Amino acid sequence: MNTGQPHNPSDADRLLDLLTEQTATGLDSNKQAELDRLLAGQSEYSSDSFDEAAGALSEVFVNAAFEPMPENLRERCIGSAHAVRLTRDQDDAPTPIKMEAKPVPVPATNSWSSMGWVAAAACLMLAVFGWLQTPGSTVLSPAEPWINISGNQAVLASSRDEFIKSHAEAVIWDWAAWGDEYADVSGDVVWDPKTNEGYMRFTNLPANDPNESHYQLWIVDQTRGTPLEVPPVDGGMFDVEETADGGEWIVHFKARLPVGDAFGFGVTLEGPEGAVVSGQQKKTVIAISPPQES
Amino acid sequence: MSKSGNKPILERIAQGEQAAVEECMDQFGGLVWSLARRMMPDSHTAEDAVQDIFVDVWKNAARYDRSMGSEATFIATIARRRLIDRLRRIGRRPTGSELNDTVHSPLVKGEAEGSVGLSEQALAAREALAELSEDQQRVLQLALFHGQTHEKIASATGLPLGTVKTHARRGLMKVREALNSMKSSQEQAGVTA
Repeated sequence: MNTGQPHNPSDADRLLDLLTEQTATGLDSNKQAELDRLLAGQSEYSSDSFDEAAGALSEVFVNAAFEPMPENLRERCIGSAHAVRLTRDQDDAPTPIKMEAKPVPVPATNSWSSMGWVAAAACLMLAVFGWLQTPGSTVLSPAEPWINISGNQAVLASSRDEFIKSHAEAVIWDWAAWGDEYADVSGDVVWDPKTNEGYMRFTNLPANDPNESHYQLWIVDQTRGTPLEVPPVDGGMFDVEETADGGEWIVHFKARLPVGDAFGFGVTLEGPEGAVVSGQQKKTVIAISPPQES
Repeated sequence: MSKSGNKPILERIAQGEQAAVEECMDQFGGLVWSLARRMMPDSHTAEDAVQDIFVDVWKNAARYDRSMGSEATFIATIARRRLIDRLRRIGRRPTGSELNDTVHSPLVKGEAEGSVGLSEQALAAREALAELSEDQQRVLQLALFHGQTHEKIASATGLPLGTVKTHARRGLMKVREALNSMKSSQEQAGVTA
């Protein structure tokens, strides 16, 4: 019968000792089992009996030794609230993200962008990689070579979702693998032409060793001329880390050189210095896509 | 509570109000960060822990019941549980000079710059703490704020292990009684009002 009190004084002392230790530092599994047994034999205390006191005391101690939270950590925590809210929203009422695809731009000066997809892709590949492999050619590179917008992948995933919802003009383009070595790579790029900003999402893009290579983004801007006439814009370098099998890797980027009308995006695997000097890339990775059909 | 009304911040977060998230960070970010900085062995681990804690706060915001106590104590309790779990998982505790400073310097009585004030529960806890001996206060501070084990506290302070355990236990019970007494008074005041 539960009398409301521990069975004997030594049990009562032991119960309070274990509760104190649990509150201060936690218990190992043996002590936790012992505490559970002692708690079951009485009703005066529960496993969280000292939690409130410890929480209030923590406030007191912090008040005397307060440290403001770093701003970047604050931003990450706020971002995690988005992630939690999005997850909850999706659990409660699944609402597919609706996108309005931008029509394929047709420059007045040429008709190459109205080609079929394969021809356009081939043309774009030629535009991107042909320029890079031409000795002596100069690509358009920003002063800062790194995309340098990184962060926790879970937070980036939620930020990307939020970006799609809040940027009405953003368009999603699928990546197409280029070459057998990267045949398993898939994903997409979201691009907002208004803010010159976007997110790349990859599945199965191999991690790179930053000491040996970096990935590099290229943007074909047809307001600068046809892709065969002008080189692509250097979108910046980025690294990919190991993920679980099939895991996604997301990169947030903002073009540092203005892009008037993006026709396509390419990604290459470059040497440790990037591709500021043309013709140095180790491998062609993947590239581009036409806009999704709505 | 909210700057703009009586609705608790956590309740507004549970309802999906974005401004409340930022308010929560303004109000309690420093509390959680300060706790993590003291209890975690390094700042990188502290940053990871703080992110986990706030994910927990966002997920559990709807469970907050204002009749049970302040939002600060609710968040501090979540933070402490998470930090203790992480300490046990990584198997390392702070060992820096701050610990020695705490052991050998007088207990801090004032408020640090930037602190956001104390909840009603913390004020009651502070009153109860002030009635304890300096050794008892120090043991509680090392255990609850620095995440130290009883053994480590005994070693750092020179107090016998049994004394450390007794100080921690009696200190927590004293504060618990003060909080219960405060709640009873408030309930009675509510009944007679």
